[in-house]
Amino acid sequence: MMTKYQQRATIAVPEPLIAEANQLALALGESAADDKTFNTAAWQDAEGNLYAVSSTVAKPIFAQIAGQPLQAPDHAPDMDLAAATRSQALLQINGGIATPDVIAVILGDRLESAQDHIKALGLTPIPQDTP
Amino acid sequence: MSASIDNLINVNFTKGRNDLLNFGLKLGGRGDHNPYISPLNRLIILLFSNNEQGAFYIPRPIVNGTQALFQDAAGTVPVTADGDPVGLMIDQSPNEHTAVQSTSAARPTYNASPDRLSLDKVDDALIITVPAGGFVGTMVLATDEGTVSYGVDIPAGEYEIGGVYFPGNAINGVVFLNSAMTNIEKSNTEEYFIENGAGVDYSEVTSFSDYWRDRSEITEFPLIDTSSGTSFDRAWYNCYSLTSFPLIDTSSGTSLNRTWRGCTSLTNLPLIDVSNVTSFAQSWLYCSSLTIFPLIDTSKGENFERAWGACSSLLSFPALNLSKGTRFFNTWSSCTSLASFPPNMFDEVITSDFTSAFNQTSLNQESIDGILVSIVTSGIATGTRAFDQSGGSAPSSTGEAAIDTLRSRGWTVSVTGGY
Repeated sequence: MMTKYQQRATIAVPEPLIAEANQLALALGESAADDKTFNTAAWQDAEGNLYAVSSTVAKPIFAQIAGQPLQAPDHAPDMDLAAATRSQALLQINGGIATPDVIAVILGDRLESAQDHIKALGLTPIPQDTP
Repeated sequence: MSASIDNLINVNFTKGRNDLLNFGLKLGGRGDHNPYISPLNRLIILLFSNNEQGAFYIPRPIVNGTQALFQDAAGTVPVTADGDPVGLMIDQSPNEHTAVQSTSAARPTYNASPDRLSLDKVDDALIITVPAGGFVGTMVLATDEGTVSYGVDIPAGEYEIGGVYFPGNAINGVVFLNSAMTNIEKSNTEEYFIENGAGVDYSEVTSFSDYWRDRSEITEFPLIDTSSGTSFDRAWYNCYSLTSFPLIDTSSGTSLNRTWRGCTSLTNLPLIDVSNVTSFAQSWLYCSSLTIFPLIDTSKGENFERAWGACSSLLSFPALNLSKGTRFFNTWSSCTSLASFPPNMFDEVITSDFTSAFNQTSLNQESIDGILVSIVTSGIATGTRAFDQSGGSAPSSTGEAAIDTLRSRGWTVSVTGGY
């Protein structure tokens, strides 16, 4: 049997957009807990802008669904659809490195590495050990 | 071992403790038959037949004839194929501590041959709820790179299996026992996972960076094969429950940046082979319970920035070879008990930065004099040329003469007493 999850999506959300991006995750995801998809902004780009990153296996229809008008799913009927729609408008799939004005997505084969995706997004972990 | 062998006797141990006990009694109390018991079931009986608290996870879709992995946290969609996400993993012990992940994107991925949960090391993890009293005992963690038994003290509440920092790239099996396993129990458990495809001993790993980082639950770390390791950066960072450490093989290591930083309970360190290490930056920073330090071979060390910073229980320091050192920024800063420091330690140093190197120490006069004279002996006349000491004794006239010489060479020197 072949899995339906044939792709891997790695998503970088600029820190100011985390709350709204979590509403988009609720709309596109499969669980009421998907509003916790993006947490700490633990990654940074070359300019020092901060991002929360999540990586997941995805079904091939992910890109298609991500481009369609959103509806509140059964698992989150009271979600903030307006916030999710604003985030959806910022999605940039396979458009290069992360920047503060878009929600950058690397969408590739399921066997690709999340760490390679993060490199392609131009992100590195923020040092966590100061002082 | 294949799932089919485990299924020869189909006993659902997850229904409750009585099933397990009854099954065990049948095996022991009857001589008129000799049913085949799978290695897995033998192991479960060995570990849990006396009502032991704990958990036993096998990342295989079907275990003992029962679905054990599900795609969702509610347990309604079974994992059936390589590549499926895993939102729920059944506990094979009688304790029913199901491991779950409610957030879709944080679910590990099931992979077959061997059965394992692959982690993206971004956010993938399964969460278990440790019961009141916690798990104080042994954890056997099997990954794709090694299978090891640890002493652990895991408090009650949520506990994450996986996460950003993990000693491997996949979970091949996990067992928690709320008591210390015997050596036989450890070896039987480890062998089971290894026979089912888990990594053996970490002997092929070259980078241990962040492997056990923030594992504050580990109280006892075993002797594993780290002989191929070149980078140990942050490997045991913030493992603050470790009190001792085994004599691991670090002979291939070149980088020990932040390796034991924050191991605040570590009281001693064995004579590890660090003869190829060039960077010791923050290696033992905040190891505040270290009272003595071994005479390790630091002869290739160049960067010692904050290496022993805030080792506040160190009373003295061994005569390490620091001759290749180029950076001593804050190296012994906040070693508040450090009174005795060997002479001639910097005689052969070529270029360096001693900014805040001995701030907040308790150096006696002989030691601060020796340090200053040694830096003069080195002849350093280029570079940052800064030296700081605070706390402890002021230098004597011998030290003051050395300060005069250093200042004449362009150094900025600050010492206790304000000379």
